[in-house]
Parts: sequence; structure tokens; C-alpha cells
Amino acid sequence: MLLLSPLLGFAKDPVLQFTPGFIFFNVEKDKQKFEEQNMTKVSNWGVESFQFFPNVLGGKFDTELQGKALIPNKDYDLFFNIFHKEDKDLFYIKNKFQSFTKYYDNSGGYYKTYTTEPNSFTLDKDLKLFVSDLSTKMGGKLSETWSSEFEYAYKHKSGDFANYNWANAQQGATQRRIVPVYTEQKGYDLHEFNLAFQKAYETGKLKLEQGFVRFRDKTLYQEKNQDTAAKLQQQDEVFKEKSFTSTILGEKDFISDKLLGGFSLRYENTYGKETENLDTFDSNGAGTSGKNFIDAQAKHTLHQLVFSPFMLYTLGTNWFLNGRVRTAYKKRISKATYPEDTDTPNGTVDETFNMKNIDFGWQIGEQFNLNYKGWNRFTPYARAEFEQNAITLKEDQTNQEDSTNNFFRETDQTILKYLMSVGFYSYPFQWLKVSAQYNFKHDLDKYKDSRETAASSSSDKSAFVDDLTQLTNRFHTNLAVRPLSWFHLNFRYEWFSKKYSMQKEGLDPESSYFNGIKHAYIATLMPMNQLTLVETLAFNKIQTQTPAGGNATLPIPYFNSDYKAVLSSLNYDVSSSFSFKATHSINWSDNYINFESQALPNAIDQKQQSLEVKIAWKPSETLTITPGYGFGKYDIDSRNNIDDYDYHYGNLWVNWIL
Amino acid sequence: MKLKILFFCIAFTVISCHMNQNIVVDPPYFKNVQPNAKYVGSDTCASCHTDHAKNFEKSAHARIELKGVEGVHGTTCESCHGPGSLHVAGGGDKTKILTLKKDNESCFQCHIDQKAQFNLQYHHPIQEGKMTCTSCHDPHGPDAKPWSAVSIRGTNDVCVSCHRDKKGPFTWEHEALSSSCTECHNPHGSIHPKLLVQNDLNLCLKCHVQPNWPTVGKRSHSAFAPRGNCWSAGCHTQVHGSNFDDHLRY
Repeated sequence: MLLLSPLLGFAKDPVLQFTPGFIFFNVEKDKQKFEEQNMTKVSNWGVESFQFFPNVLGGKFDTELQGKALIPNKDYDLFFNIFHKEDKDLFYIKNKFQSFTKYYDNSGGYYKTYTTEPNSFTLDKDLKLFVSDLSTKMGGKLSETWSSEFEYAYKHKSGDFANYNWANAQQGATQRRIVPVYTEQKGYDLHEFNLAFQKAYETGKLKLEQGFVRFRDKTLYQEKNQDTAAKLQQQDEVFKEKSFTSTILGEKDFISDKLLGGFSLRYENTYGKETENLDTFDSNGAGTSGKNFIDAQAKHTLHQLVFSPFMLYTLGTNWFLNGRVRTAYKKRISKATYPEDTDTPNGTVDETFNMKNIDFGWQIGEQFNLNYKGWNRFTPYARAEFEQNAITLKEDQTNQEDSTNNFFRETDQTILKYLMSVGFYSYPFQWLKVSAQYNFKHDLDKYKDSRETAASSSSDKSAFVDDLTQLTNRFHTNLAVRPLSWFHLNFRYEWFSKKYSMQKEGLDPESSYFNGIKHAYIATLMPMNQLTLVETLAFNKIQTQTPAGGNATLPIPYFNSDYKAVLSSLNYDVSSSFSFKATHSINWSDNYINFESQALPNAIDQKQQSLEVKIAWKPSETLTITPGYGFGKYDIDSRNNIDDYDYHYGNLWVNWIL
Repeated sequence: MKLKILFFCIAFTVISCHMNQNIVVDPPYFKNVQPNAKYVGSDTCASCHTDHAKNFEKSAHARIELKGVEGVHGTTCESCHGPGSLHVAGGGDKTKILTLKKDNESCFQCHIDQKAQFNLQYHHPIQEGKMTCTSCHDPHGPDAKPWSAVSIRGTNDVCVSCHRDKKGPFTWEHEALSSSCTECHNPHGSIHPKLLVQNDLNLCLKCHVQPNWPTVGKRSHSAFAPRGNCWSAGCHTQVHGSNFDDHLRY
């Protein structure tokens, strides 16, 4: 166990420690699905972890270097810190780089009842997305009371990822959208800068922050139909954004530490711009009529001011009241131009939509938490949260060529929410901890169209809902019991029920229900000091019922789905130089319902399991050798097993301390 | 049923007879990683970690501090970070205390259903070490859950810090996002791709169904439903928001 425990942090003495090694998987059947679900290529090697504490700067500074480098997955971590030896707050620089690769399945929406060959559902392309993250933070004390910090963070993504909107295929007489589709992520670059100054007072602090964000996202969506009218659709999008955020935070103790009060004030100013081209081609590459946009453009400005005071008050010896308020004003202006080549594409704009949408309004939120700590080993608490929103939305859309498509509307939106919670934490005996909470939540969204002009009455525009009410009841309890020194049990139960009532303008309201229960258990057995067994069981069930389930024209069956999961692990420290660990994981669900004449099937039949054993052998104080073997499989019957995979793997990691 | 009750009573009696007041209920996981450490109490922690201690009073997790057991069996700080005596003796030695930035097991001791969710086939890469619970949750702060009605930041800021392309603003926004991304996604793990709560039309219909279904809005969807789900059937592909189409199509 001790040998297999994770590294908890930086070691204290100057040391070089590294763990080179490899893992190799032998995968049968769907390799892409395996890569997606296990986030790895079939072979991976490199240095799983390294720590280096070179005291290169000497004098007043310490340095820390920690990371990993697994080459085939481009899985790199690097943490490099410099800080003042006596007081880390006096001066520090923290640098971090992290990257990894995400893999995607390339087989779209195939279900077992479909007659088309599964091969037609596989893109001839490996989909993978490289994700990286770089940040640097430096700060320190400017004087006895002033300190400052500067932070820069950069996030990047590039590659190809699978979409969950699919392309056409013919299934007998029915046209379905089930063929895989992907997007080429040409560049996702997010730069964030933040500069903060803080002044500490004897009874409080004041903090000033200025942030700047620059974001650019460039994608090319590629969709290739496989029905008789084979078409290719390409959607080329570039989004750019700049955002400035200024924040002031303050807090102060009053009345001999009985009252802590404070506030934060935040102003955000965002400018965004998107350009888009959408082109459709036939199988010979010739343009076809349909949706063809030429240099569509959208521009946004967003202003948001948030003021949030809070207070924490000790009401008496045992009563603690925590109150917070948030007030926010938001205004958004969006303008878009959407030129369309509606006939056989010839590069000429036939129709142009101009849109201008503005929304502005207030949001106020209040939260109160009350804890009573007057009883030994038992803390009851209550929480109340309220929110009120008043938003006006103006939508203006004109069509330059066809005024019948013009549309104007002004909507007053009122959102009222409240949440009430009561619960307790208790430690009645040294061998028992128990907690429970019940909460009730009520959300109401009301839309009132104060002005609406639509030339066509047959087509709704956005926000056609008049009222949407959501009522949620939720209860959960946790229990931890250790009846015997070698047996520990954790149990969690949760039940919730949510009712959605929607009223479309001019129609009666309809109600839908979303209900669920969860059970989870962790049993830990320690029959000997050297032996630990952990068994985790989980059951999760949800059900969604909508009135569409009983509809005569197009019944959509209720969504009923559950999964069960069992995780087992065994750790055995045979001696101070030899440990053994085994883990087994399985989860399964069997809820697939086929109703293909109405819609796609829902839920799934699947089983996933894995087994891993590894030993850690420490022949000397500075060397630990950890070989391992594993096995796993995934069966998904609801997709006619086209995504199934089996694998075996072996790995070897060697940890050296120099 | 009677047999079950009898069995339960016998089991409870046997267990009770074996109760040992020296047994504490703290997670066995602590023993594995800090086998010889003892509890020191939150006041000891606060003497160095003053900022955390002050902020913690505003946190929902502050409820777990119980009177009558302070500093003995791990309430508050040591409930999550494990017993701290060796950490203190080592002058704040980070290797002698659990840090949640590196280790999620401590969170899973109470949030055990989340542990199972992260083992499902679609999950955020916690197990793979690319994230930790603290990437999204601030266990010391006033909002242990990423958002409430009084948070200084926006509803989905935690999600869009990595998925910025879903943030908007959009010319046409999807109202569901103003509630939360979790209306449709389960961020911890799912048996469905894209961490969706469910993989069928009911996901959308629970808010959008109306008495004259299969009409939605003013348009019949009877020909569209067999093609696929609202987001997968090539129609409402911009479910997070669209800049060019009021029906979230392009």
C-alpha cells in the first residue's frame, strides 16, 4: 500500500526522482472506441512522474520541478516553482504546463435495428484533439501591507473531434440522421491575463483586480451524407472575443469579530465577432442549392456590472448567520448579417437577413445560511436562496429582399426562483457519522410579449414559451459507520423529483417529470494492518416522463434508464519491500428501447469491465519496480456490438530516487 | 419480513457488543496515506492558514464542524485533509498532509456516488489526472457548488473556462443555459456520449412539449422525429446558441 500510494506533494529535501516505463495494450475489435473511453493510444511510454529539487538559485530561494512526459499520448505535465525560502508569500513564481490528447469514436449513431452495413458508419479518419494549458503566476509582498499577483494562462486545442449531430442515411423508406460527422478544430486559443493588488488591514483587506481575455476559435465542420442524394456540407466558423473585467473586493471585521462584512464589485465588458461560411456540394463537388451562407457576420457587445455584499454574523454563542446578496445589471447588443445564396450556388447573394437583438435587465439574488452549534455532536442548518430577474429582450429581424420574413418583438421576461434547504450533520458516536438534507426549489420563468409583429403566423420565433415552472424536491442522506475496527461502511442515498410545467402561448400548460434515485456504498475491510479491501457499489436510475409518451400521433416512450457499478480493490503489503494491488471495475445497463418508427431508440444495453493487478517491489531504498497486468472489455449490444472492444495490457514503471 | 427484522436486530446487537469507543469513523483512506498521524484540530490549522480559516466560515462545508468533537476526530480541516500532526511537526511539510489539488479520494469519502460516475465510460478526466475536483469546486469558498444566485461569477463560468466556445454571447441564446449546463449534461460522468443526462428526445421535450405535440412552436415535427434527436438530426445543431438562426440551426 505504501509503495503504491500516490505522491502527496513535493518532497522536502533536494532530490531527483523519476519513474520511466511503458504500457502496451493489445486491443481487439474497435480500437477507436477503446482510445476514446480509455483516453490512451494502444502503446504509451515515457516518464510517468518526475520530481527534481535543484537548489540552483541558492541563497534565499527554493525551486521545485515536477511533471511527467508520456510521449505517444502527448501527455505532458510540468510544474516549475520558485519561491522565497522563509516565506512563500514574500515572493513566488508558479509555472504550469499540461497537455493531453482526447480521442473520439468515429461511428456516429448506428443502432442494432438498422439494416445498413456498419462499415458505412465509420469515418475513414482517426479523430483526436490535442488539448494544452500553460500558465504562469508570479507575486509577492510589495510592503508590509501590500501584495500583488500577476497571472497569465493560455489554453489551446487543435485536431478533429466527433460531433453529436449526424448526417443523412437512408434506412429502408426512412431517412435518418445517423452517419458520423466531425469538426476540424483549426485553432482554439484562449489567453487570459490578470493583475491583482491586495492591501491587508488589521481588521480586513481590499483587493483590486484587472483581467483581460482574448479568445479565438476557428472550426471547419464537415458533414457527408450517405443517402441517395449524397451531399457534403461544410461550415467554416471563426469566432473572436475580447473581454475586460475589473473587480474590487473588500472585507472587514466589525464588533469584535462578531460581524464580518464585505463586498465585491465586478464590471465585465465583452466584444465578440463571428464570421461564417456555409457551403453544400453534391458528390461530384458541384455546389447545390440549400443552405449556402456567404460571409455571415455577427457582432456582440456585453456589459455587465455585479455588486455583491455579504456578511457573516455570530448571532449569539451558538448561532451563525451568513448572508449574501448579489445585484447585477446586464446589457447585450447583438447584430448579425446573414447573406444567403438560395438558388444553385453562384457566389451571388440572393437574400440577406439583418438582425439586431438587445437584452438588458436586472438580477438580484439573496442567500441566507443559518447554522446552530449549541448541541454537542449535532449541527442543524437551514438555507434559503432567492433570485429575481427582470429582463427585456428586443428582437428585430429584417430581410432585405423579402419583407414577409421581417419580424419584430419585445419580450419582458420575469424570472423568480427560490430554494429552501434544511439538514443536519451529526457525529453521535465515535463510530457513526450521519447527515441528511432536504431541499425544495421553485423556478418560474414568465415571458410577456409586449410588442410582436410577424408577417407569417405559421412560424414561431424564439422564446415562444409563455410560462415555464420547475419544481424540484430533493433528499439525500450520508451515513458512515465503523462498527468494528476493521470494518468501515459509507452509504449515500439520494432521491429527487422535478416537475416541468410549460405553457406555450395560446395553449394549455403541459407537465413533464424528471425523477431519479441513487444509492452508493463503500465498504472498507481491514482484517490486517497490511490488508485493505474496498468495495464500492452504485445504482443510479432516472426517468423522464413527458406528455409525448401518451400521444396518439407520435408517441415517444418515457426515458427509463439505470446503471449499476461495482468497483473493488485489494491492497496487500506483503512486506516493507513488497506490495500487491488488484482492482476490478464493472458497470452495466440494460434499458434499450427500440421505437424506430417514431424516433431513434433510447437508453442503451452495455457492459464495461476491467481488471488490473500490479505489484510494487522495492529492492533498495532508492528503487521501486512496479509491473502490472490488466484486462478489460466493453460490450454494447444496442449498437449491434460495432463498438465492442477487448484488451489486455502489460506495463512496467521503475521509480528511482537519486 | 419478520426474519429480516430479526436478522437486523441480531446483527445490530452483535455489532454494538463489539463497539469500541477507541474506534473512530474517519475514512480508512487516511490511514493508508498518513498511517502515524494524529489529529491536531482546526485551531492549529488556522494559526498558519489564516485566509483559508476565515473564508471557510462562509463555506457550506463549515457545517461539518461539530461541537464536542473539536480537534479530536477530524472535523472541518482534517475531515478532508486527514490528521495533521506530522504536517505540523514537519513545519508545514506538504508531503505529510492530503492536498485535494492532487488527490480526489478525500472528496469521494462523502461524495461516493461521484466516484462511481467518474468510472463510467464518459467522464471528465479526473481519474486520468487531467483534472481534480478542485478544478471546478472550491471546497473552502462560499460556493462549493460552482454557482448560486449570489455568486460573483456567472452561471456557467466553471464550465466555460475550458469550453469557452459555448459561452457566447450569441444573437439567439438558449434559455436552458441561463439555468445551468447541468440541465442537459452530467459533468461527473454518464453512460451517454457528451456527458448527456439522457440520449433521447425527452431531454428536450420536458421543457418544449405542448398539448398539440408533435407540433413544437407552430411546426409539426412528425416528419423530423424519426430522423433523430433534436440536436443530432441535423436541425437544432447549435443547441448552445446561434448567431444566425432563431431556431438554433446554424
